[in-house]
Amino acid sequence: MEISQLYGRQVTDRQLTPDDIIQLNLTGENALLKSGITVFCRRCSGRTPLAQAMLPTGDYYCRNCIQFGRLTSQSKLYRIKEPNQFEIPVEILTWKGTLSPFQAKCAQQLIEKVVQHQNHLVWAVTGAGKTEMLFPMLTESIRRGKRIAIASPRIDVCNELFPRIQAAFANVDCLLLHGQANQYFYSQLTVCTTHQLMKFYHAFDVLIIDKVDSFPYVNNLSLAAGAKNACKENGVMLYLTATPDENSLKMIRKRQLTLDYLPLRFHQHHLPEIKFMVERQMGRQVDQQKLSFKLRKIILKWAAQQTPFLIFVPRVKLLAPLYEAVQKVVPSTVTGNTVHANDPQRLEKVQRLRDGEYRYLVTTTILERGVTFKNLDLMVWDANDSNFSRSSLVQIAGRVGRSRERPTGDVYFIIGHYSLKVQQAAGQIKKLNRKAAKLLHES
Amino acid sequence: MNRKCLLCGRDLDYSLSLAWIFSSDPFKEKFICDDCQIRFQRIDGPTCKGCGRMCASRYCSDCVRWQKMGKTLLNNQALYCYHNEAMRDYFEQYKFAGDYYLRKVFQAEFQQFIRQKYPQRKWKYCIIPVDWQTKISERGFNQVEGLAAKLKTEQWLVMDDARHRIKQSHKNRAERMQTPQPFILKSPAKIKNQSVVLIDDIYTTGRTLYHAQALLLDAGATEVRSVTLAR
Repeated sequence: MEISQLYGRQVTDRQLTPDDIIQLNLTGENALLKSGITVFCRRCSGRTPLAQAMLPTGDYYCRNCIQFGRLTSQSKLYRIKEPNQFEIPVEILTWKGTLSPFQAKCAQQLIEKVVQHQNHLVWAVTGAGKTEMLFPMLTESIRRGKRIAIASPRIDVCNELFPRIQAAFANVDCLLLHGQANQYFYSQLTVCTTHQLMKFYHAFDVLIIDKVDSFPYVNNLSLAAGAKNACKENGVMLYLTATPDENSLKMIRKRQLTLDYLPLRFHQHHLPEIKFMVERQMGRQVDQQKLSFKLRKIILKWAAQQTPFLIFVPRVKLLAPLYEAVQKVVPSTVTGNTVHANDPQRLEKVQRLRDGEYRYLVTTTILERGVTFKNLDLMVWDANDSNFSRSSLVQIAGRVGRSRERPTGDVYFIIGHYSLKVQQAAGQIKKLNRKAAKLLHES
Repeated sequence: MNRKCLLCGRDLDYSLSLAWIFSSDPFKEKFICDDCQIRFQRIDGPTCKGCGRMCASRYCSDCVRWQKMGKTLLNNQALYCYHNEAMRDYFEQYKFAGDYYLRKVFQAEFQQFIRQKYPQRKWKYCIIPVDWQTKISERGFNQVEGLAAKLKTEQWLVMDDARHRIKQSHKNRAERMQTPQPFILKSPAKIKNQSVVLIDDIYTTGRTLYHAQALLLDAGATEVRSVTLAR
């Protein structure tokens, strides 16, 4: 094996042959540490209770990162230093577009933060053109020979991001790495899932994490620790998000993280604001499959508009009764369906909604992010439910008004009472709209 | 107490019913959520009397073949269907990825099943062993011992380590059927006039279990049956 294959990586003895270890003169350390009644894993920084980690042979293993191959107390972990040996091309950025003044301002900030080694968060609304905004900073970092990774919790985001990055930096080696694309080579620019970061140790000078608020990264300590390990000690971590989670807001308050806003969408219109609708006896409406007069009026209005609409429900078992209830309201020409995460025809149904064959879908949270429909309206049934987090509510509201032709749309939250969570979600959107109004006013 | 589903990682629902609070039932620890539980397919309804698979006739074609070869059938009984995505994923994780803690998912149910079908007063339990290399250096455990850890079992069978062995799961049916005897007996004297239940994780062709049965019957066991988690 070439040593360059291992720069900045952390590998186990299973990934190496005994010859490699001798030839490359590697020294390993124990992968697992026992401290009291917990087992600490150096690869994923996860802690497992010893009782759960024991094997009958007396060894123990890490349950947390077993999907990358099991580490036991017999395993060794090899960490190879990153030397930043890159050939820097003359022409780095091959992208020929221009940034809007707001994007350019944000991009300039990013360059400064990288120079200052300051971790930074960009709070950009859904559909603001975050990727393009990264390009000036990436160009500058590549020129200085830094190693860069763009990580996201979701495979589909990586798959979508990679061709755009590759096209923008055609002369730079670019690598896509996730569970289904695991052909590794040493490259200056890496696009990967946050899980893959666990395979690196002190590798990246600049680590960009896109969509920090989404599952599985959010509230996952071992992924956060993995990301921190993958970044060099004097490296910079940049976060991009539409809905910062509580943890990053806390870090901002403690001044460990700086914050910048990108509150305008590419079409420079405001985000549609959330309208609340307090409904009594929501359980009975589900049981009787009959919606209240107010809700029927909204749905009839949407049905007459010739535009698609979505109804989000918190649980799979609510799909069928609400679908029945909506069916009773709309005229028979308006067809729809239900969709949930384990639905085998999920993609097909979503495509049918895009094509206009279906006019509406009753859906669980799977359509909360990453999907774009034109001219959409939506309602969220029982937005107080624990299956909706604040960030998922903001994301859901962000599905609306994503096209230039119709930048507005209805977002209704059906609630039994006002809870802190829904008010915070509405508050975040209002806050961004205020920022946006200010920006527009200034320019 | 276990708070997360071991298979999907979601929070477990421990809401207690009033009926349970006033009943004398013990508190039962959960390891997987209800959504994961229904993905596994329990074997019920008419089964083959020989191997325990779901089958309308009395004996399935495989068991008829065993009978023609002159074997006494094992009367195997199994809990779950192996031809089921959830079960295959489970064994992939448990056996091949080596997540030993996943034994808890079926441990209690499997042990209760064995005790109920074959009371300990009459029967001796005997576990199908794995070879030394798997047990010590690769996997680190015997998957059947994990599933039946709380039962009193006998270590009568051991794997014959002298021979080079290819794993059963890497072979197709024809190759499996030609596997030579992989076991040797440890203490043949004790087996005389005993009724023995063989415990294994998966029954696929039955080759392994029939090899074990042949050895035990030769040593003088009166009756040999078998129980597996999946069929």
